[in-house]
Amino acid sequence: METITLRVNGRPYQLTVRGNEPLLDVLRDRLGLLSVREGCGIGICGACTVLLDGRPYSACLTLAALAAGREILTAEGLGTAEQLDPVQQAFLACTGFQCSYCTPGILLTAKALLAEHPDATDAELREYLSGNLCRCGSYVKIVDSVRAAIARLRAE
Amino acid sequence: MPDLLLHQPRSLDEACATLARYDGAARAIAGGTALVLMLRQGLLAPPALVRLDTIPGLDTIAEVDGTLRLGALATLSAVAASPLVRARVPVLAAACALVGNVRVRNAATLGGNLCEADYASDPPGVLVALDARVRIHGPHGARELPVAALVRDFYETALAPDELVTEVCIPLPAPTGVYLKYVTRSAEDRPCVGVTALVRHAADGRLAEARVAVGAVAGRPLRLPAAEALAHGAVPDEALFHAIGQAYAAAAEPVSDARGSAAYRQQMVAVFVRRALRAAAAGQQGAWRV
Amino acid sequence: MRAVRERDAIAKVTGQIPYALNVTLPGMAHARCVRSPYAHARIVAVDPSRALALPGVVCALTRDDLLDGQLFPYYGAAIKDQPIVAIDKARHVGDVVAAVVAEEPEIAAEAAALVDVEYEELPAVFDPVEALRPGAPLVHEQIVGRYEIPPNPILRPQNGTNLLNHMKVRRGDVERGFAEADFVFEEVYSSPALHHCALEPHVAVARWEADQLTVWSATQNPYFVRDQLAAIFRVPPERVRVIVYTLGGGYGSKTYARMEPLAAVLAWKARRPVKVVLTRAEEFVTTTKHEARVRIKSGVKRDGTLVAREVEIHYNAGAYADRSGTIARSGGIGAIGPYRIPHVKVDAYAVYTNRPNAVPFRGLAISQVAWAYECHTDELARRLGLDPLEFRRRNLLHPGDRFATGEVLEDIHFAELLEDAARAIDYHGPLPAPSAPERVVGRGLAVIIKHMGSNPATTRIDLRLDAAGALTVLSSTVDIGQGARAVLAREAARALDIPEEVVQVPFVETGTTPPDQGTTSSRSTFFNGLALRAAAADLRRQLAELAARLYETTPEQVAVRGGRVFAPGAPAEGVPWGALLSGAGVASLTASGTFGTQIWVDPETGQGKASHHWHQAAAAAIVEVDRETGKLYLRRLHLATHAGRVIDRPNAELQNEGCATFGLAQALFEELLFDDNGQVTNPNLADYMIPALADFPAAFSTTLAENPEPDPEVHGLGETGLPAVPPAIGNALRDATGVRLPRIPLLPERVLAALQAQGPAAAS
Repeated sequence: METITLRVNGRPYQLTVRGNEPLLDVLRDRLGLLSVREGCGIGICGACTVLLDGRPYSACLTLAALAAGREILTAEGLGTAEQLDPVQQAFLACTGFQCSYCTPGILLTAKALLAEHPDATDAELREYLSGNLCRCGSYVKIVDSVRAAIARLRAE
Repeated sequence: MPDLLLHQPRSLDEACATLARYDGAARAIAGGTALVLMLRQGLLAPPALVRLDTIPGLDTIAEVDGTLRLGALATLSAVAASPLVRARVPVLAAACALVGNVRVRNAATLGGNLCEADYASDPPGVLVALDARVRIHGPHGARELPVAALVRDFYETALAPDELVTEVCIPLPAPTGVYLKYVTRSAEDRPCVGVTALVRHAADGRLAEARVAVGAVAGRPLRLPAAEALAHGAVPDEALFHAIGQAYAAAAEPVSDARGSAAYRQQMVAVFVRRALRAAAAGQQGAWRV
Repeated sequence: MRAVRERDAIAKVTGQIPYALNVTLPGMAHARCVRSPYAHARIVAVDPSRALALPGVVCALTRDDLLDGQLFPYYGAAIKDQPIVAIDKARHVGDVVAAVVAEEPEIAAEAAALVDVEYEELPAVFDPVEALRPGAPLVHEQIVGRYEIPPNPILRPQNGTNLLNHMKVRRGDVERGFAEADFVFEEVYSSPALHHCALEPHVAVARWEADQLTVWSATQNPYFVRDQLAAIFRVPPERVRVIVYTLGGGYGSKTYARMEPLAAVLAWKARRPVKVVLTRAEEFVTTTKHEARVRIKSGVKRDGTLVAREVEIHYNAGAYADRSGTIARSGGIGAIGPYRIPHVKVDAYAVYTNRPNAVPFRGLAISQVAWAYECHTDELARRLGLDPLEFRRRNLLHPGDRFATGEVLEDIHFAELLEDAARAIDYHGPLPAPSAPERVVGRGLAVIIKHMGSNPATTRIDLRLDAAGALTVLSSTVDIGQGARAVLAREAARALDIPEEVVQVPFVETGTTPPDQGTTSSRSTFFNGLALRAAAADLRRQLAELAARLYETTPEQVAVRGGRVFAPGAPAEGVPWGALLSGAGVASLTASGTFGTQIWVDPETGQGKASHHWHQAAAAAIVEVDRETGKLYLRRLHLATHAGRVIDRPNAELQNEGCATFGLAQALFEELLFDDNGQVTNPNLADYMIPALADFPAAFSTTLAENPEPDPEVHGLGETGLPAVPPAIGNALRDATGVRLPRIPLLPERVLAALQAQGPAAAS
């Protein structure tokens, strides 16, 4: 067991974790952050995407103990119903989701894209987000949403 | 999952000594993308993991005395984004940008990628074509191996359990060229065939050198010096590319998997070696998924 | 206040929308299944003692728990042939043989590996055609007389065979038709097993409180699950409550009862709440799509008039019946396509095999036959030297025509949809230039007809108006991502002429939300809309009566509009509903509306009325094919569906976009693979590909066709577009290369082999 401090959504949490405990289990089962969801469990679908220091990672393939000391962001920390993040607003405006099981991961990936490539072209956008799978097949409106978020960022 | 001990060494010596103490039972963990998956699926249950990210300096990317030195802990994202790699070995930066997805690239490291020796991966073939070598740290000091000798077979390397890859070294200037990642199903699939072709032109427009490595078809990347030699002093034309492609196809001993049968892969080796050589000879630099 | 649509959307983008996966209860334990490694095996002995000895294990469930008569041990969507855990045999690799319950999921997994099962392996059969041959291993030795079979004239299993159902369609005289034809042409097409792969796995949480069972489940059929559970425990259905939140994807996989029976029985045995969550690998052996083989033969006149079509379909049902009987019926009826053909003969077989269970899958039954008839129709045109669009034009069904079932079709728009698709890709214009010298370009079209499923069926909706003026829509329709709750609120607001914002739609709970057949078969929006109208009319009537009583007038003198009542003697600006209720001392009003359809076809002839109305779609594709690798690149895709009336445009478009995504992946790469022992060899997302953003063409467009009249009938869109997409792509491949591949997916390797078999001389 390891005693670690995780900084999640701006708050520190002191926890004792097993050395092999995935970040996914800690965030979901212990911290109750239910936007972090297991899909494939092997880092392919992106439903459990979280940002570590602003960059996307699969929480299923990240050991919690190795995430200590990094700034962890989940959809809960992105925005709230009262104060949505611009990326969330864009997905809301474009209906960029269906069942939304994959949506938190996609929002966080889009958030990282905007930070990393604020002037991303359509081709870059498609490439960057292609690792987040939406089985419902909402890709047209996911692209629309991210484009809208980029346009908004440019306008500011 | 039963618990395990997490060691946080501060130096390579300490890390190797810890690994040695477990007599092969412990595992080193870098990005964890392969290892955590195996832990979760119960394919591995080591008593301890040895962290490498606690050792300072293992992710440095620098050019030193005509060699590009990539720290083993440099992530694939870092390699892809590094201005130095993009300037000096653009094919490697571009190939790393095609691996897995953005999350995998953020976590997975270049050293970890080589040590996993997964046949269906992009970087090993590119590094073999670049004549890259790895620096290895062990209880008895350091040694060097060509990447071609490090990767032995499916998921098998020449590394002892208490040895660590610390650096990947690429001699500069590297010949220029392309990596073609051929996927047969989803764009997110791993390669069915991955071909790197690098060339150097002579002053008269003929080829001074060509290097071709074929990845993702067998336990280790394939290079054929005899076939590459066909290019030395040759006019870069379709007949040459075709001949080299045929030689690689003839020598390949491909696997069959969901991405393609052995017979199909054999044909695709010929096609993509030819196309990669054509692109490299035309001066293209980069990596593309096709 | 925000409308349900916006509230749900905000909950979705903040990650706060609830799923069954989120449910945790005090004292809850976790289950794991023990699964058969054999495709077909007699169970000799099951011994859980080593598992029970593991610290943290609560209990184990074996067949011994099912045999003392306390429980009814079987369940199933039609025939109850699926045991909660295997009783005599395991019938597919991954069949549930036992289950263990433990304090933690990890302990349950460890314990499951310690259950000792002794098997006696039996010969297995995997192919539906082979399974019908005399002497084939029997998946179920006895069906009739052993299993509970609902009284259903279209479901006719036969003992001593693996035949689960045989649907016939007979119209005209097909032999005479072939004799009259100038050209008769026969082909065989096939499509593989697939897996639904909803990102949220199957989840069920069960809790007993005294004699009351509550189950939280991700199910598309809450009432069906309730009734099956009640039957298992031999209790009245009212003692079972099924609660459903949002589903993290379904696509047919979460229809009927899946893991709920096991969860409920485990909770009963453990005497504490139990949660069952399938692993990703388990998902792949729990629900699959019907693999199918379709033999299709057509007779055509020299002028391009279709005169006869004969179709024989074998659907691979897997080990248990589920809805395979219906699939044979629906597929049989839809098998000739949207064409006017006087002489028709169809035989559709659903066949038991030792494959994992095949269950409803988006595009139910039709995607398999549409792949066949739309490729075949295209090929027929080309062989006759006719343009495939022109050939279809000559034979498409128009309003007033009779379908294969003999029913006269109205409200059909195949010609318009097909022209729309052709226009979208500039069918008559020049083809775009290939992007590389080794590539060739082609275009293809397809048009399909699909029944609306779950017939006959009824839906009830209740409306509750309280004294605060809040209107609650009570419905057992499930939100699978299509925005069902938002549509209910919008349609209720429309029917009652009130703002959407005052309408509430709670989640499904069978104790309070009224009975519904299920959120399947692209039926919900249509059925709900009409049930809602009936309920709204009832509520208006009750409001008028209440106002009439209060203001001493007659209901006919009362007007109900804009959330107010207007009556002689009442304030001129009208009385808000809430105030009316308060004034009359009424706490709440509850109104009900039902809608049902009565559909019937004769199983011997397929004649009758097979669907209340028909779903219609056309697709157009432009592909580029690399002649050296055989790889297809989808450059352009258009999908047109008949919507009738669009209620929520973005969500309606999303249904078409989702169908396009499913369709293109099925055309290009999706395929569940098995080894010779019947084991799935790609049960994970590294080896089983589902479509990614980069697979979806940047050049995509879609049409939602609406009827011009003021209040047209709504047509479901959940599955409508899907079946048109793979044949449009297959036909584009044919156009580009001359290659006709009878089997999807159109993997590069298969295309290349066909190109090479063509020889170098063949032109595109």
